[in-house]
Amino acid sequence: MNDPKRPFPTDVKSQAKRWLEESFAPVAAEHPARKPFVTDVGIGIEPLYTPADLERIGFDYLRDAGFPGEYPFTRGDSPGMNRTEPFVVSAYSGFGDAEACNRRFRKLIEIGTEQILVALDLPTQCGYDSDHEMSSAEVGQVGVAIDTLADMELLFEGIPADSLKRIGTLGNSIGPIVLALYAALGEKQGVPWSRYTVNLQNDPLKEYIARGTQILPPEPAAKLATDAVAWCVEHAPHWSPMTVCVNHINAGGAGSSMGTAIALANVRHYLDLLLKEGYSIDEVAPLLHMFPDERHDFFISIANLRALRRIWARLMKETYGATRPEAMACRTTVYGHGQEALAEPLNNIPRTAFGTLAYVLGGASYVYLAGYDEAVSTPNEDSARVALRTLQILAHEHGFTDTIDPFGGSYFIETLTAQVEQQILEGMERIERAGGALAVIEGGFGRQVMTQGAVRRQRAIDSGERPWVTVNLWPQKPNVPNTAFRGDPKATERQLARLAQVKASRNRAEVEAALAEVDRATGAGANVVPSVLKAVRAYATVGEIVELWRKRFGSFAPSTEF
Amino acid sequence: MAEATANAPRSRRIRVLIAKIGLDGHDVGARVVARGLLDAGMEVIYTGLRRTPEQVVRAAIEEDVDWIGVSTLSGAHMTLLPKLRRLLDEQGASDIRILAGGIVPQEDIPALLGKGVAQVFLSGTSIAEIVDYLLAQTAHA
Amino acid sequence: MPEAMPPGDRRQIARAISAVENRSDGYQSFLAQAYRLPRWADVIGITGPPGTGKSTLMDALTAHWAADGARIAILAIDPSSPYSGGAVLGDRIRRTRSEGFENTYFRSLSSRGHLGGLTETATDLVAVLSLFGFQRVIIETVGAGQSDVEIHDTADCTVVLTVPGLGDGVQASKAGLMEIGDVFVVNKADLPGADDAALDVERALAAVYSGQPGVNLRRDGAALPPASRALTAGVAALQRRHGDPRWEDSAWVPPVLRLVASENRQVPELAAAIDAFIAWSERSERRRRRTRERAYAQVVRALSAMLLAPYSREPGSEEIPASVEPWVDRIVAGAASPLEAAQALAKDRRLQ
Repeated sequence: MNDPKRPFPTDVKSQAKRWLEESFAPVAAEHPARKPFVTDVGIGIEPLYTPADLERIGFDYLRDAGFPGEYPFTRGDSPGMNRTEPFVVSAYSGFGDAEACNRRFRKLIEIGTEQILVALDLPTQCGYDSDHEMSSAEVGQVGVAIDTLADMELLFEGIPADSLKRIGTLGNSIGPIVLALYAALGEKQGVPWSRYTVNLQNDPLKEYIARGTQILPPEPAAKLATDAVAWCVEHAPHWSPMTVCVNHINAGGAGSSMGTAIALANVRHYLDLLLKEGYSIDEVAPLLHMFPDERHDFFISIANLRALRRIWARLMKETYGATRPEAMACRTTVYGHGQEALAEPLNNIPRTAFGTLAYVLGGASYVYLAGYDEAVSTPNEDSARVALRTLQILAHEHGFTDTIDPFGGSYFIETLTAQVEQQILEGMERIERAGGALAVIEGGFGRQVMTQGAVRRQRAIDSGERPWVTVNLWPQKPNVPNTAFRGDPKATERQLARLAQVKASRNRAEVEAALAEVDRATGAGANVVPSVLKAVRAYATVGEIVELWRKRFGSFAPSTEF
Repeated sequence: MAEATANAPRSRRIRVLIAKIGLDGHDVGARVVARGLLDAGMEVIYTGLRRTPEQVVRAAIEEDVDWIGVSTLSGAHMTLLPKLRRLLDEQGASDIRILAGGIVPQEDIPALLGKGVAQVFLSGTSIAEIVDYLLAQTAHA
Repeated sequence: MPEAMPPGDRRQIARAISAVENRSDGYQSFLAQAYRLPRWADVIGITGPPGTGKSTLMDALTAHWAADGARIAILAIDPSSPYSGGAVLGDRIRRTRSEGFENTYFRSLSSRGHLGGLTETATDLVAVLSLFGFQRVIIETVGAGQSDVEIHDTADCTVVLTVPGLGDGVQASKAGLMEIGDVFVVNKADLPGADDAALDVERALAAVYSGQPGVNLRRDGAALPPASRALTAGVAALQRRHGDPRWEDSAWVPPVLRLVASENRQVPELAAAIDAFIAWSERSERRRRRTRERAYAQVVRALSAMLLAPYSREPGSEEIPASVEPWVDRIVAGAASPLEAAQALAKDRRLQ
């Protein structure tokens, strides 16, 4: 019989082997393998997991899982997690000009959005004003056009900064500028910084390999991004001015494990810059969030979030010497996808719901969900509403949020968590050997990993190894519906008119002086946010500030590595 | 013996310029297609990001390509692609044909085909389909 | 004023290049005209291991020379797949500054599949570009592999690149690049280790050369600084290229320059060094010698192609040509040797 001193029955392992060989195998032999049971990250999935697997990986509950809100934070970054307050229901939204966008925001708030992340158009993201020649045809297309503080004021008219749990934007290559815009917005509305919370993505390093809105070379870009973090440490430590991303890197082909490794290398680069400026790890780590991503495999996604929290905790404590729990707990933002297809877009509703459910069960704190037509365009009102309702259903129905880390202890999930953790750590080591975050960008390592992965994924789809309903199973012709969102050409006109008006009516001398101050601060290597804030208050444009930086640092020249 | 046939016409490789016009920075799809064309024995010239239509036309002419594959995801296709066609025609390169790849709403496709785009391949189209199309449609292949 | 290049011209040039590359559409007439030119474009070869910033340097040099109005062409050669023969040619990405000049021209080439070889094709392309009034052609290669090294035999000046932190700074010597460099460059010289990298190259050069970087003249009966005592084949080749102090009035010692191509720093100095070498090359008759060598090599290549044509396979065929098959049968049956077969075939063609 079982020995009470041993945690697991000694005969589980042999019984599992017996089951596999004598019960399962004969049945499996009667059915041709319907696909290779290998996940997108390359981890194979067994037919069954048992206590024998936990023993094999050396699972120690207190050491490896522990308790929510306590080191190593595997089961949750805070003690309450979804139980005390479900994840924040969030929307990423923006298009056209501020006027049109404001109306959409109000609708979103009406139906229950708790956080809005503003989508900016490509010209704004790339540091071009709406009247720049590089901007034509793209003003207001994938996001709202923001040229000056005046646009921000219009965008949030009737929406006080503190009426939502958090407000923010991506602003990856213009971090100090968007930070200043959100700070100045509160001033204009009469809401002190302490009373609202700003959330920025502000992660330029991933742009170079995965998203493409980079402006300057990586080193100055990273420094400017950390200026935004440093400013918040001093003036608004409850804000979250940087969210380091996996999602674009994964989507680009790297896979969630390698993508996480690259993102963590970027985290280290930013942290090292801040520590060099004299900040302590306990001061700055709490202001950084992570943006994990896994869209192909539900259970890997859960394992990935848990592994990420464990790795982050150990990294902060053991490598950086953090002592505050806030520094060691990894807060996560996620954007729900699910291998969406172009044919029959409504099918993407269950797909994204399942992908997002994994994030919820994995313990993400801030959750967004892709519109069912997002693969093809900026979401229309209908798809934005469905996305929001789906989040609300996940938060309140079915009991998904009733207990913390429901998969904790599961033979399957704890094994997967250990395997994913192993992959991420190996990836981090590889990157260290290659030279760190900058080597990933400039040495072409990042692009290589992504292109290889993307090619591999395409082959898996073309061969049917990765089943995809309506693509390789019951294939349908892809279709981009005509209800796809269309930009309003009048919005572009309005934006150009407004920009001209702002430029004409602002105090020119004040703007010039402020811009000169930004240039001086940048040249001196000082924190640029105070001077950018002054410029933004004087209605300097995004383009005017970025142009100073372009002149000083040059534009990014990509590697010719394909 | 390569030397011996040094003066014989060689079977000419299909040359494709893969272009990203405008500010959109997602080029994973473009890279996957480029890799697929490489595997099929074609020569692919990649322009890099943020090219203007003028730069793309110049590249297409200098490289004497058979096709320009434009990756379009940000919705600016109805302006940028006809402009590309117009510039090519104005500069005496009407025989260089344009393909659009990525995200294009259904109802825009006939309009694009009418404005000088030879074919639209929506995101998710298999590489084999694109390769077959190029092999069948290129005059000298 | 930069020279105009109307779109029609640009198209014509492109078509001519394709015709020569593919041996089609009247390429022979282009070549016949080109070989009647009194002088061809200066060919500058740029090579070095990956990651050394060749494309950026090419872009900067081109912009520098184009500003004076001359027509400058760039041929960027990338490796093709040994399996499919296809290639992704990505060097255009770096064409930023030089693109602003109408009088510049950029063409990407794959390394394989050129009948007669890459060097032959590159030579012919220089001929065609010369026909269209280009004054300089910059050729960029990866610097690994025999054919890449070969191309630089035909260059009027070869620039070899390295960067700090490549580990062994004389890695260039492993790829055979030390023997072909007329000017050496440590690019990305703002990175730590730049001094070490430059020193590594200088040390390697000091083993073979002595004298000042650049042109060294014999003055008033004083001998030129002696070259290395050990006269290996490699050194002999270098002395042919850079001057043998035992019999000549001047010799060239390759300079080692440090620059930051991405910021255009020291690029004018590099351009000056290249021009100095080319000028010395002309004065010391080397250019003329090289042109003669090239002509000889091409005659031999063309002749051998013509002579071997009746005995050669169709591309892609696995059949042994009928002209040779009976002899192959005999050899395999033990009734003849390959040499006897060759002699018999040559006699048929009245070559003996």
